[in-house]
Amino acid sequence: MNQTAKMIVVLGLIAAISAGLLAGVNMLTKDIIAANSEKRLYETLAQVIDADEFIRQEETELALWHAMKNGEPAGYVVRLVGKGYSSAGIDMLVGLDSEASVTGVLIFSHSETPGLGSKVAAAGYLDQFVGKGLESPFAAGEDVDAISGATSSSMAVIGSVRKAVQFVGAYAGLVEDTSIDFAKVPDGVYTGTGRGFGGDITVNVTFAGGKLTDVEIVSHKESPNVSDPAIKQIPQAMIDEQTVEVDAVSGATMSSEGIKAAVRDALAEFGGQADVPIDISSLLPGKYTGTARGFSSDITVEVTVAGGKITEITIISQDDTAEVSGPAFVAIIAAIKQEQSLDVDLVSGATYSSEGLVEAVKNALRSEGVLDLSYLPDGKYIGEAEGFSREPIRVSFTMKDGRISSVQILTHGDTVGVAEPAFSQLSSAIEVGQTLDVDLVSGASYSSQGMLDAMINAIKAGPSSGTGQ
Amino acid sequence: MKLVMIFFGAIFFNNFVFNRFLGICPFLGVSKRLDTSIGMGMGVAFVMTVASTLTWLLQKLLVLLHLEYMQTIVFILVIAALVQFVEMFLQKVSPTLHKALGVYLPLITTNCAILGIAILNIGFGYNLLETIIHCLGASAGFTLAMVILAGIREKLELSDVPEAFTGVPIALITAGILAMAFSGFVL
Amino acid sequence: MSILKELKRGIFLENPTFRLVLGMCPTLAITTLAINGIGMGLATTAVLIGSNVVVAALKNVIPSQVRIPSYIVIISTFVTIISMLMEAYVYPLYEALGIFLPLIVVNCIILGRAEAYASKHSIGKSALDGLAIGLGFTLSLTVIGVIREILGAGSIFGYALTGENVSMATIFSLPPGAFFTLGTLMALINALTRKKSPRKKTVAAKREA
Repeated sequence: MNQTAKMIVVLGLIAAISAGLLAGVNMLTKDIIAANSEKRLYETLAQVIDADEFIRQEETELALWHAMKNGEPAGYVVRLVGKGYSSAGIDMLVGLDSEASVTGVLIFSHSETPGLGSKVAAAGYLDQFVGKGLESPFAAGEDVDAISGATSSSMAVIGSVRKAVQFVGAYAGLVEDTSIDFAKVPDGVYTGTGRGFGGDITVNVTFAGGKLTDVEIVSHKESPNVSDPAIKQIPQAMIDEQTVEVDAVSGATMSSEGIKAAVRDALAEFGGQADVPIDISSLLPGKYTGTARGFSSDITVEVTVAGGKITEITIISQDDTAEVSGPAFVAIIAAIKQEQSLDVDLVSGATYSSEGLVEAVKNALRSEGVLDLSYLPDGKYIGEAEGFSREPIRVSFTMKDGRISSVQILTHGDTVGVAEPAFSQLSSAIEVGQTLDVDLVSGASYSSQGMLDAMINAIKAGPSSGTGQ
Repeated sequence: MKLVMIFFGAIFFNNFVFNRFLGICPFLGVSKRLDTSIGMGMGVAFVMTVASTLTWLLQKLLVLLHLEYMQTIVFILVIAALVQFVEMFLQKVSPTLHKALGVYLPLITTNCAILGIAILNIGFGYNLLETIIHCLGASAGFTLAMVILAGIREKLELSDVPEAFTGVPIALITAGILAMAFSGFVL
Repeated sequence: MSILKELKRGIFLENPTFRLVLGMCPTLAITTLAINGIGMGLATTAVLIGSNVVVAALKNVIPSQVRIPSYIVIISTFVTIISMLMEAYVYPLYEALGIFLPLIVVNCIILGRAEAYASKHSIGKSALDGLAIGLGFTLSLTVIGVIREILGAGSIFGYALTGENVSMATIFSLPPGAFFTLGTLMALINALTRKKSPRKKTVAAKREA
């Protein structure tokens, strides 16, 4: 008994002393360890953007750091995991400047197949993203390269970079806002929140008489002294300039951006970038091309629209296994043509190919397309659009048996000596070429563009009754 | 799919002996004969799986209590206690199994593969099922390595090895050649 | 001089790596670079001295039935302390040693010395034994590290020896090279000691026993 008690006491004492010791050493070292790990993280982050300080933004969908250089905002770093070939994914950092253009890409860790997939981690491959931004499509084979034999790893990296760009674009308010048209906002008070430096900023935005009349900051968690100029100046600047896109107050950039984000959020319903459903009946007649990813490669389609209907879908290029996707494509194309809708059932067994095809058709119809005048119904068309001056350019033309004729300028307010020669030059070019795809007249490009816009508007409006004005 | 990758990955690409260098001592010590190799492999498989399951659960507790720095000490105690317990349990319940595995059990406590895989599982962020699969794969890989080496060493005993190389050195060279073969799975 | 004699015993006669064939896992795993070998060796030495001293100090207190668990607790305490200190102050080395730092706990050298030596000798002698065996381990790891770094990476302690265009035998940085280097070194040492003096045959014989 005595022996057993001694065993337990001794063992217990040793364990207690060792636990105490460890707790002590842990106390001593844990701050240093934490500081070290932060420093290492900063050093890693600094590899993708030229900055010396990083501030972690809490509670964002993707891990985001604000990068600062000499105390001034330099951009952002986003960390995200792309799904590649292996299950673990590709853990990467994307550095972006304040315009959401890529400054650097770094692959933290990946478990792609060594020798093939791991090629995406090479600096030479990742450098291709530098300088690309919101305007880049990030489409493999177009503006970025995929590594052959490591397609899914490449696609994962490309997708992640694209996602990072779009995320920062949305976060920094570079994407959706421009389309907020103040004139279209009904009078009333709108509430929204945006993220500033310290946390959420909530604003009440008041519209009266089609104008922004007040931006009231209801609550914020910004540091009092630093953010004061932003809180005072930004709302006033928005009211003065009647736009959300005012310059940030220097020294309080994040607070400024936070207020702008909150106002955008309040007005989001008037300018969001929601996935606008494609209204086939309103499409201009012509040919539209679009590309989307199929099962093993890109599918490019040409969609022909005439009379507000999809009349033909041609697959221009695709490498998808013909036996699998061939019948699927035929079925999908038939379904789209019959239902005049893109919401068709996918063909089981060839889901990727079917999805890719439908996506390609959608992309085609979202694109500008090549207008094909020959599909226009007979009749006289009239339309107007803004030219060089404020006064609209009014245009009329006649369609007969798929041929365009008598293109005339009815009225315009542009400088006569400059605009009129251009108009007649364009009219004859259009009639000769039977297309609106003509070169603008140099020296009168606004007038030329105005005339072409007016013709497009005329086509959109459809033919008026044979006689017209 | 992930489970399959973990399992075969632990056997071939990340073989504990040839790639991660875990469990070298028993690998060199016990691989003189085929039957002992298999016995050791079985013992390791058993202890590894049970120990990893326990330590995985314990790690949750440690994280909860913010005592992550106690990981090493807690894990090794659990493994030592487990091995003791298993030995007593086997002795009582199944003397035959105890006779087969018993001699290897004390060796297993100081087999770094056991503590190693427990720590690796935490580091990789595996869930419980992945942890178990990883242990099965790793012990299969360990056994495979031992059996291959034992087969070769049994033959080597009959061959004329330079005197300086007899014993451990030739076993290491053999292991090196095997490791080359195994690295073929990676590239 | 007994200190020198002790050191000689630890470093050469009872060298843990080449003579006793203990602690093989870290020996093979982390010796891709010479500096890692030194780091691992010194970390192990620190743990070895610490645990030897504590075990020797407590040798009359710890009941023999629970001595192994007690030793394990003592050893793992030192290992954890060392690894926390390394993480705080020499992070690159901490990262290079990775999982083999906590695995010092199961390095048979340490438990072996605690059981075979420290539990029977005075504190001072045990400390010296820890130092001697530790240095022996460090020396072996460093030698292997130097050889593998020169052959595999063409550098020594990080200083490049060859131009960029010389491609080295990368295999020595990879797992197979670890086995080859250690095996060859062991054979070399066997050959040298056996020829040099018949007296050392006893040691070799003991090893084989």
